[in-house]
Amino acid sequence: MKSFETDMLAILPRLKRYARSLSASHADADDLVQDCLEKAFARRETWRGENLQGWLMTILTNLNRNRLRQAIATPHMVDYDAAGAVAAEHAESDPLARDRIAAALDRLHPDQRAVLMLVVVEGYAYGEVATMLEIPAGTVMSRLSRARRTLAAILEGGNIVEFRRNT
Amino acid sequence: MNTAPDSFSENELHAYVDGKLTPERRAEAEAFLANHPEAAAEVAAWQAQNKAIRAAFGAEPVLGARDRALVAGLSRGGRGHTRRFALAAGFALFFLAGGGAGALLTAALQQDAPVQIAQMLPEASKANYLIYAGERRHPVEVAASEEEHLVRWLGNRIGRTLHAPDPSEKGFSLVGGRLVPFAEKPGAMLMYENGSGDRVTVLIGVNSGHEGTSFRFNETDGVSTFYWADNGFGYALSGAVGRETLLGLAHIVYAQY
Repeated sequence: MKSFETDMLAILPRLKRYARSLSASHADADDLVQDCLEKAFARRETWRGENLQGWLMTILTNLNRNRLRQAIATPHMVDYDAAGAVAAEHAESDPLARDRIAAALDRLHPDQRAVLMLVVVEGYAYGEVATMLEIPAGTVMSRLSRARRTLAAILEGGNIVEFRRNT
Repeated sequence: MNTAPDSFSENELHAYVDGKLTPERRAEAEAFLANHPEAAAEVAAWQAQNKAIRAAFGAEPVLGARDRALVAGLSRGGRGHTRRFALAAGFALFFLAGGGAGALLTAALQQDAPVQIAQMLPEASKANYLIYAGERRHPVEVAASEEEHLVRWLGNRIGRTLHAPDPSEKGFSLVGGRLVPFAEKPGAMLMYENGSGDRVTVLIGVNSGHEGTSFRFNETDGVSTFYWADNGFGYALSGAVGRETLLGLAHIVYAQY
């Protein structure tokens, strides 16, 4: 089991990144990763020994979907300290721009968001996403399309005016 | 130079945005977009989204000691190394020591704990406690003297048969109860009090879809809360009493539902 643990540690940064890209806060993402790891270790007998990363991504995606289904009626609470930490950690120079994209993503359907993140952040091929989520290739494309169009509509309606100082 | 195609499938435009086209097809896409400003504007918006998403989420988090400890603990089969299971295990020991519902707890331990309950129950329960337990004259809507009416009324509102658990062996007696909102639905709150005036509130709310969870403990601002989900309902006990006292009461409530 040593190699399972070692492989897990090697994949963990990407798993955390994926969880963060699906979550509204780091605390939510940490909970998601912990639940995912618990499930993975509990089920390690069923892992067929190939593509551990894809397997973990699948588990995490499903856990996230279940979580959000339960959360629909709950007003979301943002931890301000955590939000500050996010902004400081990342390369995004404009924290408002980061908040803006994050808030828009929070409004996407979780299934659409998962496909978008697997493609854009994790860089998977469309076919890999289909295999991972056990959905037809056409569904990957329609979710990607809806995610992008919805996101564009949200961002456009955001009433943000870009301005520059004259120099 | 490529000749510009007259049409381009949307799927291929996504593939263009995601850098998944062959160089040849990519050049054709660019030629197409040069002649189709509407498609070009849409593609530009998608590219801007990708850039913003990668800027916000692209960095791989650095692993901390906690991450390594978590993996190591799970790898040893030591579920007790995580917060949640440590608590559940502690609770199980309590029950076993009390000769109580060990089997029930074993079942609860094997459930995946839904994250959502963790977020809603303790906060709602703590708020109930803080708002109502301090009331001198109107802590409850219906007093214990009308217990039968109280449990029938609250039971009807939350859609189950309800009774007020009896923790008199721990020195607590029923003060009464009230209807409270929980997750945008009716919830039931019962209040208990001991001889020295310590109050404990019990919150019962509908949580359809949850078979059961492990037990969790939470202490913030001097208020302790034990909470769990079982059979479609969420339960939480809150009070400014010691953990052991609250645990004893939680045991009684759990055993009676």
